[in-house]
Amino acid sequence: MSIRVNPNLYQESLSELALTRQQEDTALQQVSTGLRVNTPSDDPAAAAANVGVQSELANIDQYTSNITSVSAQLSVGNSTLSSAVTLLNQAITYGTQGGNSSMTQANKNTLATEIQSIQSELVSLANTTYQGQYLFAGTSNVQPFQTNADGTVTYQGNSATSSAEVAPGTEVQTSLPGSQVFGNGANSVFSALNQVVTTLQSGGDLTTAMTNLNTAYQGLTSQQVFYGNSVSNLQSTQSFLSTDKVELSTQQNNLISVNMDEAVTNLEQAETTRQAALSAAGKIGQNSLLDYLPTTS
Amino acid sequence: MGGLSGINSIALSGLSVDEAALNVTSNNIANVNTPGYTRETLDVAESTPETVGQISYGTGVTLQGIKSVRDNILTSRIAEENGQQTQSQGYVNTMTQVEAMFNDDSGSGLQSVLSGFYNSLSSLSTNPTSSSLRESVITSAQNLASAFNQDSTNLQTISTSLDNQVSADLSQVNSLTSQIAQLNVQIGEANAASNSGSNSDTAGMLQDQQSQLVQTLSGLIGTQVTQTTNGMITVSTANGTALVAGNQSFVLQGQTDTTTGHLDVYSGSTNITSSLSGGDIAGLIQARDKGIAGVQSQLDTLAAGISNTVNAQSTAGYDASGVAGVDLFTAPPASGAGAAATMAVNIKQPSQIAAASTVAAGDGSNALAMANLQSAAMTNGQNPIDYYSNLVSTVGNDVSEATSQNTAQGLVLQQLQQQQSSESGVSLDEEAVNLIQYQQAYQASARVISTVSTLITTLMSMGVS
Repeated sequence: MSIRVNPNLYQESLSELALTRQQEDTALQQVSTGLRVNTPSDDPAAAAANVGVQSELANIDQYTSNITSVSAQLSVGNSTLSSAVTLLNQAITYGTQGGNSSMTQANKNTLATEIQSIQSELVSLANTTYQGQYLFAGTSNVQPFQTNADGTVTYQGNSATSSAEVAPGTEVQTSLPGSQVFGNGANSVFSALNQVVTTLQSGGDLTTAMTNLNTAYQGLTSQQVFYGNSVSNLQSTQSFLSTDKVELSTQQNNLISVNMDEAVTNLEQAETTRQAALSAAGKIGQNSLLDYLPTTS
Repeated sequence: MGGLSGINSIALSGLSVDEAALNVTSNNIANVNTPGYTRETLDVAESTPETVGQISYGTGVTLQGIKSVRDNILTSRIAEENGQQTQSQGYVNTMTQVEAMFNDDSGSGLQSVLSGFYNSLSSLSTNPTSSSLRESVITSAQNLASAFNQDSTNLQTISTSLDNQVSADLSQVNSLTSQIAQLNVQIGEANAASNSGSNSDTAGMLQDQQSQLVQTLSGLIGTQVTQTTNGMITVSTANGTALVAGNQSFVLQGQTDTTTGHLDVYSGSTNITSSLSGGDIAGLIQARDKGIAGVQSQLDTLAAGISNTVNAQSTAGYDASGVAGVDLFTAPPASGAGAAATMAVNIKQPSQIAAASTVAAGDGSNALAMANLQSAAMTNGQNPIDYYSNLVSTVGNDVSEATSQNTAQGLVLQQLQQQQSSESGVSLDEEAVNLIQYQQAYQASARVISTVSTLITTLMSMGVS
C-alpha cells in the first residue's frame, strides 16, 4: 500500500497563504516607507550603525551652527578692528601734521583734541559686544577698557582665550584678549595716543611718540590678521562638513533605505505568488470519489 | 455448527460486521471537518472455526472493536513542539512592543534626545553668556531625562500587562488540567469496559477530546505526556512538575513576589517560575524576566553613566556667577538600578549651568567639556552613543532571532501536524471506497440468507409432494 497522504489540504494551503501574505506585507511596507529597516529587528546591525550615523549627522549640524555663530562673532571682531585701524590711520595723519614745524600751538591743541576724540571712539570700539558678550575681554564678561580721569585707559578683562569645537576634535580659537589686540598698559594703543596728545599739547618733539604710535598701529593690524584668517578657515571647515554630511547621508541610505527597483519587483512578485496560492487554494478538494458513485444502485 | 442454519448465522455475522463498518464509515464522513477527530477503523477477525471430525468449518466473522488511528508518540511530539512555538511566539509578541521604543528611524529612540542634549552644551560653549542658550540646555536635559523616564514607564507597563496575561493563562491551565483529569477517569472506564468485550468507540472519542485539551494546554505551558494503563495519561510540566495524574489535577497558582512586584508561578509551595519551559506562560515570563529586565538594566546603566559623567564635569566648573558648579542631573542611585526611571534635572536656574572652567563668566570651555562627554568612554569603554546603539542592536537581534526561531518551530509544527493529519485525518476517497466495499459485502451476505431460505423451502417442500 502506498503512503497515505494528508487528506486535509486546506490546512496546508492556509499556511502557504499566510506566508505569501507576510511577504506581500513586507514588500508593501518597504515600498511605502522607502525603508528597508523599519524596526531594529529588520537588520539589527544596520539599525545600530544608523544610530551612530544619525548622531554624527546631528553633530555635523551642531558644528555647522557653531561655525555660523563663531563666524559672525569673528566677523564683528574683524570689522571692529578695521574701524580701529582706520581711526588709528587718522590719528597718525594728525600726528604727522602736528610734527610740521609751521604748526602753531593753537593748531597743535586742536589736533590733540581730535586725537583725544579718536581715542574715546577707539575705547568704545574696544568695548564692542556681540550678543551680550564683550569681544575683547578675554573670557571675563566685564567691560574690558575703562578710561580713567587722567585720560589713561586700563584693561580690566583677562588674558584667556575662548574656543569652540567646529569639527570632530577640532577646536578653533574664537577671540583674542583685548590686552593682546590693543596692548596693555604703557605698550597699549591708548597709551601711544595719549603720548602723542600730551606731546602735542606741550609742543615738544613728536618723534618718539609717533614711533610708538606707529608700532602700536603695526601691532593692531597684525592682530587683525587673526580674525580674517579664522573666518576663512571656518569657511573651509564648513565646506568639509558639508561633504562629510553628504557622505554620511549616503551611508545612511545604504544602511536603511530600500532599493526602490528591487522593492517594487519584490512587491509584484509577492502579489503574483499570492494570487497563484489563492487560485490553487480555490481549486482544492472540489472533487472526491463520492462524486463519481452512482446515486442509486 | 454445520448445516443450513449454520450458514445463516455465518451470513448474519457478516451482515452485522458490515453494518458496523458502514456505521464507522458514516461517522468518519460526518466528522471529516471536526477539529481533532481521529479516523476510526474496524478491527475484525475470522471467528474460531468449528471442527467436525477431520474437517474445519468457518463460523463467520467477529467484530473485535473499533479503533481510532492514533500515533500517541506523534501526538506528544506535537504538544512539545507546540509548547516551544507558543513560547517563542509569546516572547516575540512582547519584545516587538519593546523594540518599537527604539525605532530611531521614525524618531522614537533616544538618539535624538541624546544628541540634542550634548549639542545644546556645544552651542552654549560658543556663547556662554547667552541666557537663551542656557535655557535650551535645561530644556534638552529635561527632554533627555523624560525620554528615559518614559521608556522605563513603558517597560513597566508592558511587564505589568505580562503579569496579567500570565495570571489569565494560569487559570486556563487549571481549568484544562481538571478537564483532562475528568476525561482520564472516563477513558479509563470506557477502555476497561471495552477490554471486557464491549465494542465501543467511546474511549476513542474521549481521547480525541483529551488530546485537543492537551494541545491547548501545551500552548500555554510546556508539557510532557506519558501514557499509563487503559489509555489514561499523566501530564507534567517540561521540568517535571505534575499537572495531571490519573483522576487528579494539580493547581498552579500565581503569587506576586514582594520584592520584584512580579507574578511568580507556584505549584503548591514550590516556586517553579524560573524552571518553566515551553508555552505562552514561559514566553511571557522569559520576555518579562530576561528580555525586558535586560533592556531596563541597560537603560539604567546608560542613564546612570550619563548623569554621573555630566555631574562630575559640571561640579568641576563654575556657573554664570562664578560659583562652583553643582550636579546637572539628580545623582542616580549608587547601584544604578532605577536610574532611568528616576532621572531628573537637578538645576533649576539657567545661570547655574557650569559652563566655565574658571570663574570668568565668558568662559565656555566646561560646557564644551560636557558636550564632548558624548564621545568619551563611559561604561565598558563605550561612549553614550555607542552604548545606546549597542542596546538597539541587542533588542533588534533578540527579536530577529526569536522570530526566526519561531518561524522554524512553526514549520516543524506544521510538518508534524501534516504527518498527524496524513495518518489520522479522514479521506473522503477512502471512505467512498469503504462505502462501496461494505455495501457490496452487505448485499452479498443478504443474498446468502435469501439463498439459504430458498434451500430450506426446497427442503420443506420435499415431504409435501
